[in-house]
Amino acid sequence: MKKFIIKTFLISLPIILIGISIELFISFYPNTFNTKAKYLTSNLENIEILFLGSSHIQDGINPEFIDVPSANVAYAQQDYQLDNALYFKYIDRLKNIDKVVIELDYHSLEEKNDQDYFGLLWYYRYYDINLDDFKAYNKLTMFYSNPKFFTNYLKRTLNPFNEKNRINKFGFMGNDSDVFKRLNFDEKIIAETSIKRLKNRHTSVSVANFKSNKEILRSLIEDCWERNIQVIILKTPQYVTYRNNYNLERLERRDHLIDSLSTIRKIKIWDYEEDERFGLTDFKNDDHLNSKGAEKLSKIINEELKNERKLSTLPK
Amino acid sequence: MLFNSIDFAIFLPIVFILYWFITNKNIKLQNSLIVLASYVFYGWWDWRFLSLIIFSTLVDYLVGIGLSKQESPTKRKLLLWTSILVNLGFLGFFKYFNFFLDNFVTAFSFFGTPINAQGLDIILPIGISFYTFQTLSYSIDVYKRKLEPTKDFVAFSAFVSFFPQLVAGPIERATDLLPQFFKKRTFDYSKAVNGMRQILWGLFKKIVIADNCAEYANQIFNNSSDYSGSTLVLGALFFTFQIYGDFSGYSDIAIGTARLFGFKLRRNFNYPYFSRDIAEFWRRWHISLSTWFRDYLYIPLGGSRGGTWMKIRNIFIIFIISGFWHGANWTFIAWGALNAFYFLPLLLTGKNRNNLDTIAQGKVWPNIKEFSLMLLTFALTVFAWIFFRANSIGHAFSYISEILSPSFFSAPHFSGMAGAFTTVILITFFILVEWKGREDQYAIAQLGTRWKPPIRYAMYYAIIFAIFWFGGKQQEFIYFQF
Repeated sequence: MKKFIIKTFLISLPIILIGISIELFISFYPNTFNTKAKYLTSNLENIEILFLGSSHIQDGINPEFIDVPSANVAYAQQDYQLDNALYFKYIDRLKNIDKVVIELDYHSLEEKNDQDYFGLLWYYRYYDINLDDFKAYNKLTMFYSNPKFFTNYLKRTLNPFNEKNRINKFGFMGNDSDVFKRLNFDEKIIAETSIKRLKNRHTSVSVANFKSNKEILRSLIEDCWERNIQVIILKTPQYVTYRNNYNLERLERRDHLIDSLSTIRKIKIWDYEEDERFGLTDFKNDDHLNSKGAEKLSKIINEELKNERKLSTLPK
Repeated sequence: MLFNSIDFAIFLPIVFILYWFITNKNIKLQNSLIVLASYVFYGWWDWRFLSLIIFSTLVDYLVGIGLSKQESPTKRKLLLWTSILVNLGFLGFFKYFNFFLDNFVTAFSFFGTPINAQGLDIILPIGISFYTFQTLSYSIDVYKRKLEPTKDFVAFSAFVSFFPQLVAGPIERATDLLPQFFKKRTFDYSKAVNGMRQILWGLFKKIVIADNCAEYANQIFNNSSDYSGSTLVLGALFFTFQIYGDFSGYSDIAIGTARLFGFKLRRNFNYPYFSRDIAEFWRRWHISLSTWFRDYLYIPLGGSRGGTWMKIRNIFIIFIISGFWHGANWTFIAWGALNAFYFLPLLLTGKNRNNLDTIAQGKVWPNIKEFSLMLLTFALTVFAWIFFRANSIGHAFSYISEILSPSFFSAPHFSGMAGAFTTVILITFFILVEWKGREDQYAIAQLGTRWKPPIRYAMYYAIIFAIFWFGGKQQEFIYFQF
C-alpha cells in the first residue's frame, strides 16, 4: 500500500507541478482579461467613458486613440447579462464616469450565453463576477474550464514561430490575421465565400432573449440616468457581406428598439453600421474591424467627443 | 461526476485514502463509505435523483426479504412483479413517456382523429437504465433461487450504487458483485497498478479518441446535407470510433477504479472491431448488457431451442429491445432490427458460434480470410451506427442515400480537415495498440510490463501527455444518456 501510494504520488508529482505551472502561466501571461481588469482597477478614479459590448467593440475600440480616459471592457461573446454585471460591479467606484457606451449591433439583443458558458470563469477570475454558481474547484483551474481551448492557447502562445498578440495597456489586442487577410482582401472572393462563411453566424432568432435582454438594457440605462451618466448606443461598422445576411425580422426588432431609444433626449446614438468611411481593408472578417479599422473608429469617436465638448463649452 | 473531470481526480484519492486507512478495519464501515461516496458521486450531477436510486434500492431489498420468507408461488410471483413494475415503471416514465405519447398522437392523427397532448418536460436521470437492470437482476435471481437474499441493507445499497459502475455500467449481476461486499478486501499492489493502467488507457480512449472523433462526427452528422458521400463515410467512421472509445473507455475506467478498491467487475468490451462476424461482435460489444438480455430475456423466451420461427422471433425481440434500451427513438429500434438481420443468417445456418477464439491468436497479423471477414463485419457495423447516430430514420436514410451517390467518389472535405487528419493518425495508433493487446483484458495490460522502469514510465507519461495535448473538447459520455 505504502509503495503504491508513494509511486502514484511520485508519478503524479510532475503532472501536478506542470498543471500548477500551466495554471499560473494562463493566469498571469498577458491576455485581454487580466490587462483590461488591471487597467480598469488602477484607473477607477480617472475613467470617464466605459465601453461595454461584445467582440465588435472589443476589436473596434482602441482607447489609445481616445483623449478622454476610457476603458473598453467589451469581450467576445459578452452578452447584456455580463455587461450589466460589469457595470454594477464597478459603477460606484468610477468616480469620474461621464458616459457609458453600450453596443447595440444586429446580434446583440437575441444572443444570450448558456449557464455553462465557459467564459464565465474568466469574469470570475479577473473581475470577481460570479454569474452562475461555480463549484469551488473550478475557481482554481482555468485550464479545466476548457482544456481544448487552453491547449490550443498554449500551443499558440508557446510556439516561438507564431506572431505574438500585441496587447496594449488598455487591453486592446491587435491580431489581424483572420479571414479577410487570408483571402488577401479580395473583394470578389470574400463576397463569393460569404454565404458559406456566414451560414451559421448570428442566425438564431429568439424573441425570449430579445425581451430579457431589453429588460437588462432598460435597467442599465435607468441606472445611468439616476447617476446622471450619459448613455450612448453604439452600432459598430459591419462589412456589407455581414449586413446582407441579416434576418429582416430580427433586424426590424432591433431597429424598432433603437428608434424608440433615439427619441429619448438623454440617449445618444452613434451609428456607424453602414458608415462608408470603413472599407474592406478596415475589417478582419465580416463583422469585426481590424486594428486599422479600430484606430479609425476610435479616432472618429474621439472627434465626436471633442466636438461635443466644444459645443458644451459654448456660451448659452 | 465525470471520470474525465478534475472533480473525480480529487474525489478518487480522498475516497481511496478513507477506504484503505480509515474504514479498512470494518467491512460494514467500508461498505457505508462506498454508499456515501457513491451518493456524492451521483448527487454531484443532480442530488434530487438520488431519491430514485434510494427508492429502487429499498424496493428490491424488501422484495428480496419478502421472497426469502415466502413459499407461495403466487405471492412470490407478485413480489417479483412488484420489483419489475417499479423498476421498469421508473424507466418507462423517465425514458419513454414522451416517446409513446408522441407516437400515440401521430398514430391517432394518421387515422383521422387528431388529439392534443402535451409532452412532459422530463429530465432523464443519468444511469437509470444501468442501475435498474442491476437491481432487477437481483430480484429475478432471488426469485429463481439462484441467490440468497441479503439482509444487509448497507451492502445491498453499495451493490446498487457502487460508484465506478453506477452510471454507465458494466451492468453487474447480483450473483457476481454482491458477494464481494461481504468479503474482506485486502489491498493488492499488482491489482492496484493494473487498475491504474486500465484507468489510464480508458482516459486515453475517452479524451483522445472519443472526444476528438465526437467533434468531427457531430459536425458531419449535424450538417450532413452539406457534405459529399465520401465525407459522410468519414463521419460514420468517426462516430464508430467515438462510440467505442467513449463507452469502452468508460468501462475501462470503471473496472480499473473498482480494482483499486479490491473489486472485480465483469469485462464489458473485448475488442469488438476485430470480430470476424456479427455474432462474434455481439459477444465482444457491451458484454454486460447482451448477456443480461440473453439470461433474463432470450433464454426465458426459449432462446434458440425452438423452431425456425421461434428463433427468428426471439432474435428480433432481443435485438429490438436492446436497441430500444439505448433510447426512446425509432433510430435505436432500427439499429437493433438491422443487427437482428445481420445476426439471423448466422443463427439459422448454425454459424453463430464459429469464431469463439481471438482473431489471429498467437500470430502478429491475420491471414487474408480473417482480415476480409473482419473488414466486412466492421463495414456492417459502421453502416448500422449510422442509424444509431442519426437524428431520425429519415435522416439516416438521407445520409445513406448521399453516401450511395456519385459524390462518394470525390475526396472528403469539411472545415477542420487538418485537425481531423491528426485524429486519423491518433486512431491508427490506437488501432495498432489495441491489435497488439487484443488477447489481454485491455490493450496496455501487458504493454511495457517487461520494459525497464524508465522506459515504462516514459510510456505512461507519453499517454498522459497525449491526453492533455491531443485531448478533444470535453464531451459527456454517450452512454450517460441511455
